[in-house]
Amino acid sequence: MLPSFVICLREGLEAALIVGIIAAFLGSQGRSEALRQVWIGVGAAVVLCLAVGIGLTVLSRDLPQKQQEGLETVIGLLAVGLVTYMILWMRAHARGLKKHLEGATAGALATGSMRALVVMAFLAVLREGFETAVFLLGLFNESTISTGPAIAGGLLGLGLAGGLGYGIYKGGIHLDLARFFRVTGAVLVVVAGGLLMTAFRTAHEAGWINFGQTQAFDLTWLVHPGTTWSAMVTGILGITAHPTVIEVTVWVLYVVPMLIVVLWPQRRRPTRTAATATEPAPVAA
Amino acid sequence: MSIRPTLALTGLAAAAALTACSSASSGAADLGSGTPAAVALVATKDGCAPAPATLPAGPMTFTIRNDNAPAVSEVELMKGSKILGEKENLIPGKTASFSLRLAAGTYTVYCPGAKTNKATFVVTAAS
Repeated sequence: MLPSFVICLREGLEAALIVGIIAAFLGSQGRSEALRQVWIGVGAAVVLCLAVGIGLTVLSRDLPQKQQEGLETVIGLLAVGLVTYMILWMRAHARGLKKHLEGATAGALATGSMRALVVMAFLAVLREGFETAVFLLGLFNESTISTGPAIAGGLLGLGLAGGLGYGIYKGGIHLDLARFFRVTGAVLVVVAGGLLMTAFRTAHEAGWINFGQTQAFDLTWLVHPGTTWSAMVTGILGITAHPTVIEVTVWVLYVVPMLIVVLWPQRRRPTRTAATATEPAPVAA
Repeated sequence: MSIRPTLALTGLAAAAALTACSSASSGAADLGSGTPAAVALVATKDGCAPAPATLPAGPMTFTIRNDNAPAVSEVELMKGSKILGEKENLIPGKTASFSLRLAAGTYTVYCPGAKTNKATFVVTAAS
């Protein structure tokens, strides 16, 4: 029961995390229509993954591993791009956001970007969904595994992952965006760094990157494989027990500059100083 | 940002889905003719030594089984740092297999999480 719980928790978290962040972002902006589309997209992705899983199981075909890893890499990189865009967008608009919530249109997210977020939520589920569906359905054919507990464990893992994703959404939605950003800016950088690291790992598994594969650290003490804790750390932060040199390199190259950008105190924006400067202007004459 | 990111995302998704679908048959192409020789890769807490450890070049089917090793969840067959075949999400008791044609050379079986996480697999010139 535990092994399938751990695997489904990790796979589920990798999807629920991205969906939760997107939903919180849209929700805190009051985009209920876009939010509705996110849930529809997630539902559609789940159905699609189940259909593919059932199809492959019926035909007793395996999921093509290399192509699955390639798909995970492409979607993972898209997610890194989108989360990065969200971080930079929130940083640029943090000041104007309060005004926006009071009814001004300044800082509103363009329709195109919003659609991109909806599509991303769909893709995030697709990225982990095929593998998870095939894994769960495959359990029915294993004679040396007691199917009932294994399936129950897997579903529990998915349920917990979904619950945590929903928690991110619920927690995020109550913060106004300026605070959402201050609280989560740095966290989002680390999450995106983890996504990037995972994308480089899947790129290796897809056969696209074959250099820098020496093990950089042994993090077995931190991420003991096969445990619930390891599923959380790997699912949320992308950190595995045996990160390779290339994974650590891209993580540092992304996270360090992004953290500087996010945490560096912002200078006052010129428009702001201009606005305060114009106030006493008539008096001067 | 306008409608462009949406289109780009949708396009990439379609491309990715197509790649994933079109590949179902490509596994067989790597195999060529002849009856595949069987290699058993049993992952335990201690390692994942292949049995037999040596085979002549040709098509092979690797049957992987996780024998009570919760820390091991994947097994890879590698040539240098390149992954040739892989199975993930191998919970204890689970069996999986992949087939491919191997030329003479030294290969590595990698099972992260086991005490000795690498084992050597030698392919000799075809007899």
